Amino acid sequence: MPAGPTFEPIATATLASTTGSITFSDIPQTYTDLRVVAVLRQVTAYNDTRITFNGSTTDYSITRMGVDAANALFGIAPINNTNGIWQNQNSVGAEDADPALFACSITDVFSYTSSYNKTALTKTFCALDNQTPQFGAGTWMNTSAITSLSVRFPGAVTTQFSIGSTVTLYGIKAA
Amino acid sequence: MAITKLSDSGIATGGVLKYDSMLAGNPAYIPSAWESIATITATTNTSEFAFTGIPQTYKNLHIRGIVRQSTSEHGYGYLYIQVNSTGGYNNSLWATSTSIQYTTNGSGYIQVPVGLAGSDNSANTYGALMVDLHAYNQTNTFKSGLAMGGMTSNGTGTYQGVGLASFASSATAAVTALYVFSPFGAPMVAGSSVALYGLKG
Repeated sequence: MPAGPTFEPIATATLASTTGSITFSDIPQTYTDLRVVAVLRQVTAYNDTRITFNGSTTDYSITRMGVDAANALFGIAPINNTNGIWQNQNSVGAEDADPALFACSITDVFSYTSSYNKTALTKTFCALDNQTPQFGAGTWMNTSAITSLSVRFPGAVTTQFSIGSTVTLYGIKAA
Repeated sequence: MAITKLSDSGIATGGVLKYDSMLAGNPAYIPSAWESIATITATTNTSEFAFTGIPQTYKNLHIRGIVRQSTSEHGYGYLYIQVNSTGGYNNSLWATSTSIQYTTNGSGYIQVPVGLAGSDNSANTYGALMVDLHAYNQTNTFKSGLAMGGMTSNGTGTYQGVGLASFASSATAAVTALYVFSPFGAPMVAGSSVALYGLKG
């Protein structure tokens, strides 16, 4: 039977100054899954972002599907050996002039303490312009337990997240 | 009415603190709206995960976990969930592997696209799934919900991708049992694990 809370906030980061990445370290190993809820904007024109684990930017395999600006469904074949769990359309770029506009994403990371490769499912949303709903899957081909998690930009991108961007990390317990 | 604090922390020698609040200095207990009902984890090859006797005290159900089967994946890695003993569910599915696919069917089961990895995928790789089944305990409405599955394995295996499904049945019976299995009878391997949660309203 149920015993105690099963969905708990672990930590929240809200930016008081711009930064290139947001990292949660020393993640408790007492949950079954993790959920990352991000509300993001960046200081330059739009770039995709990534979620990475344990400081590693290698050995990720990713794919996504969604609806494009012409309202057509699309799917992208998996991309291998890349640099993080893909976060597409999860952030608003500076081309959207309203500084109050942020985008939202929800990423679930499954069995993050297990000795298996780590699979994540992502949903991203932004209701304005051409930023359509996206749904992604990705696997970190690594069996290490996840102890830290970063929301960041791909290696070649040097922009920063805007003030007010917020990321909350939740833990989900199973019976 | 004065309330006595149950623990003795902070109490001066020989003294008893009195409070006007029923909490008496203790933190308030806030029940979680999302409760874990049961989890099934395979320790050996297992043909089915059965959740029976589901409590009827929640508003919605949430099912999540990771699954891998002992044989190669079949089309789009569908994982099946049977509701009660009769099934009767129809699905609308979107899934991507190398391109987007859309299909509908009346398989009778909830189908989670790409919720299942197979032996042709990289070792230690499992499909992930999330399913929301709404108003499961109502007896005057048809049941419906949403499912999402996904898995990639760095190019190894026939099917890798992400999928979404909406599902509905024309049954009004309350959901009291769920059975998770591979559609072609292949057992789920050790480490496969599915958890059932109840969401309060």
